[in-house]
Amino acid sequence: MNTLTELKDALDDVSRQRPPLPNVAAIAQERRGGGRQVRVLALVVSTVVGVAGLLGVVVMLELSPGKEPASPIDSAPPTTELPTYQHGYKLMKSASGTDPSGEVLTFVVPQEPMLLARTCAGPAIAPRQETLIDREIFGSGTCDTTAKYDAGLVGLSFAGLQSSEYWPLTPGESVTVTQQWANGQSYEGSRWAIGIYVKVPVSEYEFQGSPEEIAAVPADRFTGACATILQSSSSNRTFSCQLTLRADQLQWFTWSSAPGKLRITANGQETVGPRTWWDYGRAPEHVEVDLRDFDAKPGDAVTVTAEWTPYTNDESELGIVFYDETNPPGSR
Amino acid sequence: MQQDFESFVAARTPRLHRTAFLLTNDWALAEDLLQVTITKVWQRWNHIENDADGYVYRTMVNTYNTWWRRKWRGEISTEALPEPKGTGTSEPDAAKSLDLWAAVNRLPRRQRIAIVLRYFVDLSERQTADAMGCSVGTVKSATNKALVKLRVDPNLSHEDAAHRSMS
Repeated sequence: MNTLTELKDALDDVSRQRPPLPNVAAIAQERRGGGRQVRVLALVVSTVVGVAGLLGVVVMLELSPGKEPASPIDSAPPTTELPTYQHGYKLMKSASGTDPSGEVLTFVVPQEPMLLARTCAGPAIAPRQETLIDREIFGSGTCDTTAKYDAGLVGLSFAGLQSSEYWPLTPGESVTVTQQWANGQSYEGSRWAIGIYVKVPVSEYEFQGSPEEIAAVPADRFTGACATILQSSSSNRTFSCQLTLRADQLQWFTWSSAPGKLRITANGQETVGPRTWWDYGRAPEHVEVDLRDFDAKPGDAVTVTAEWTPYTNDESELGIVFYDETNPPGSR
Repeated sequence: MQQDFESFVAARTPRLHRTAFLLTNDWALAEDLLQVTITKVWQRWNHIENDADGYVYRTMVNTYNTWWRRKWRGEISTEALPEPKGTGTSEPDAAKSLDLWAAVNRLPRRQRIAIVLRYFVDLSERQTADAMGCSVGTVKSATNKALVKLRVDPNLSHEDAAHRSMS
């Protein structure tokens, strides 16, 4: 880049093609006036651990082993089936079809933490779904445009809503979920599925195991002083190392062959928001956290620690590498 | 009051929507970010009507930062950038814009926010500092670091660099 004009033009160009929007002012006024002001904070606090919110909406996509990643247009997910188990949650109720436009699921809010999962697939145009809870828009998201994966390896990918306004749901109440294509559009040949998941004890999850095949962790991506591959067969599932950070962010990259949970601390402090543990899937995951989040600054030597708990009894492994942008993996 | 709010939102929505996209790099997330922001603005409308513009950007940046801290982000495939259509720019210019946008997305989060607010929204350093909840010095620092990184990014074309300078 040579001039500020180029930068301004680039920002202008890439944001020019806006998709259509609903009436955001009307929705804002509805949300305020619709009796949704009561926040069930206790419920939220008790349920956010391990998921991206009380109702994190998950778009899931599976790729075939060895398949090269196609362009977003061609990479429509091959399936809209929801797994019985994922991330320590068990499918309680689900629905699927080709043209979501009405009420699709009514369920009683459980006491346990829960997850609303959805997936959709479409041939050419990125399908875009809206999820409504008791007829209020909870959020919307795309399928294939949010696909995240790494070349040539099986990946389970997640995207969706990160609403900071937790939806007020009360255990014991009946709730209706409505699913529709965004803005009333229709997408020929597209499919969708939605499911309500409930947190299950780890023991049950372990008993059921993961139905998916184990994907090998690429060893060549986890080399260097602050990298390791942990094995579930080993009693030592904790890894610590010290690195001097020159940038203002700590980053790490993980690759797991089976679902599990992970706790990352830096100088003994939690690094990922208010959560202690993170439930992750079989996927490459890349995380950046500000040094300020754990009271460090560029130039500090930081001791980072990863504690790993796999969910399944199957033999599995987890690769993890810590770094900062001045010293990315592979540059050592 | 309601009419003022609706007029305010109608006038600002296109710019805010694009700003939200430049922060999130995802149109679906941008819509969610915009909706949450507008909802919060409406909830405070009685108190912020005289400084709604400042409040709306501050709310958007805060909300985005909150999401960012809570979200464990997956690895994103590099071909995720959509091909812009009908922008009126020539193909080489469009390619250059995409390359530059990719470079902007490689910046640390706060530097990217500063760049978007300063050079897309055209906020002053003071307004950017207010929106980001930091000092003017921090904005200057973040902006300068970002521009330096963009200027030396090895993936960007730097032809004629000797004859042109950052204004």
